Amino acid sequence: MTRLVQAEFRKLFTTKLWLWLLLGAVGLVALFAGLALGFAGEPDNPSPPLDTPDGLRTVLSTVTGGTALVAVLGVIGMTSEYRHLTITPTFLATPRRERVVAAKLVTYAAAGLVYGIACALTVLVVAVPWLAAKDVSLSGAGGTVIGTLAAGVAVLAIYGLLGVGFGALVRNQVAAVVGLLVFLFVVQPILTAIPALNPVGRFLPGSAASAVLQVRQAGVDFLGPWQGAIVLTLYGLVLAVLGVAFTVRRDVT
Amino acid sequence: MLGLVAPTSGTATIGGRRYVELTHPTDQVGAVLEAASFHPARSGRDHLAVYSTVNGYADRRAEVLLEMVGLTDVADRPVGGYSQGMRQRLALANALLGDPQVLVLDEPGNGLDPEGIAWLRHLLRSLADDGRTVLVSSHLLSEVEQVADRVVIINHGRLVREGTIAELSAGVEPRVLVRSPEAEKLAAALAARGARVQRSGPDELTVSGLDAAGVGHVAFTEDLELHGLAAEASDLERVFFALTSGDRA
Repeated sequence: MTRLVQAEFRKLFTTKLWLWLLLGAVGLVALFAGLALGFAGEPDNPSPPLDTPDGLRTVLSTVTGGTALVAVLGVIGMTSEYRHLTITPTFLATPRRERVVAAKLVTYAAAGLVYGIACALTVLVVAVPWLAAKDVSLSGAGGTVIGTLAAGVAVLAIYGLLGVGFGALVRNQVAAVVGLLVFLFVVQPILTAIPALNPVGRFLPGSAASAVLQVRQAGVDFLGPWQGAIVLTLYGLVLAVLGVAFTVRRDVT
Repeated sequence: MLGLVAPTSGTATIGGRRYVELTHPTDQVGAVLEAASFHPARSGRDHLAVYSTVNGYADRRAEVLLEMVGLTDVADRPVGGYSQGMRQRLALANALLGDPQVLVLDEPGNGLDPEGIAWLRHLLRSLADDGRTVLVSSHLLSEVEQVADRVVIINHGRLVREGTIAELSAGVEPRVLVRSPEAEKLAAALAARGARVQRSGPDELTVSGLDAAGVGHVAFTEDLELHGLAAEASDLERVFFALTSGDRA
């Protein structure tokens, strides 16, 4: 299994995709953090003020701005094998196909972790000087900072799992990437925006991620942080298991 | 056979075990199935490195194989820029990583230039002479004929014949092609000697039941002019059509 994971890392690092998506994720996080900081304290901004733990958490939670890109990385990591037919030599080397999927889950969770660390550092680089300039003291907020950023890193790692799981289920690369983005940016926001659907909405990946970060939002009842993390992980694992059961075992020609 | 496609019925075993049951399958079986199995942005060297890593082969082995298939100079270029023949060579190198005793090659000559085909023929021959089993599937029958020891003919998914080339050709009567400006008279003379004669062109005959020497002798004794006389090679293609023609009707 160690070798399989090593091989997956070699696959990941022998093309440039990881680098472009990492730059994209870092860029998005820097942008979101800047927006959160810039608009904090505006009269019509519902976010809590920056000098409260909740307000600080809202700014720091932009660490998850790259979740979609981590998920895309995982989806492509799985589906590019089908797209470029490298699935043939891959399954020839490892005929027990579920092991390939397991190795990819481990690899892309680890990659998500690395992305998360890069994003957390980005948030710090943007937020620390900005907050200092606004005379918001971070002394005494160390726990909130580290806790929120660590939660964000965990969320990104889990999104790596999610991507691989979704890619295993929908092996067509274009369909998987488009489907994922439509879900994250169209379906999910609609479902979470309707208050009546909150009992369902709180279990969606985005809400589960917010729960992990302990973000407060008026009128929304999130899960607890651990519940959120478990729900999110289950999404990845259940998708992967469904993928292995229904898609991955299909004939490869 | 390699666990990629679930069979409707039956099993295939390699060394007595099904492919999926092999612990390190690529140590025992190397396969080249389609030459397009590469990520276009990954270099040839990296492609081999990925599959070396899965099975724990030393990187040195990949270098030896790159040298052997003649790709060392382009090993760091993305496979997307490779010609069909270069991809075919890389796929072959990948199959040989584990130094397997069994090779399964699907149309390995596809996309190779004549020089490449001669090289491939030589390589396959030397692999087989090392005591390895090399299974080649191909529809280029004349190519197969030059390398294969044993032939299995499959037509429309059914086994037609199996055996050495000599065994298979034994079922097909040898024929002689003869050209003569006096084809009419020659045909009559040959038929009188018990040969079966077919008119295959304005001055060409296809003769069975007599060998080339026999046909030449008849022409000589009858004082008939010949422009060409050749034993038709009893090649695999004829064997194939002789054995499968019934199915095509």
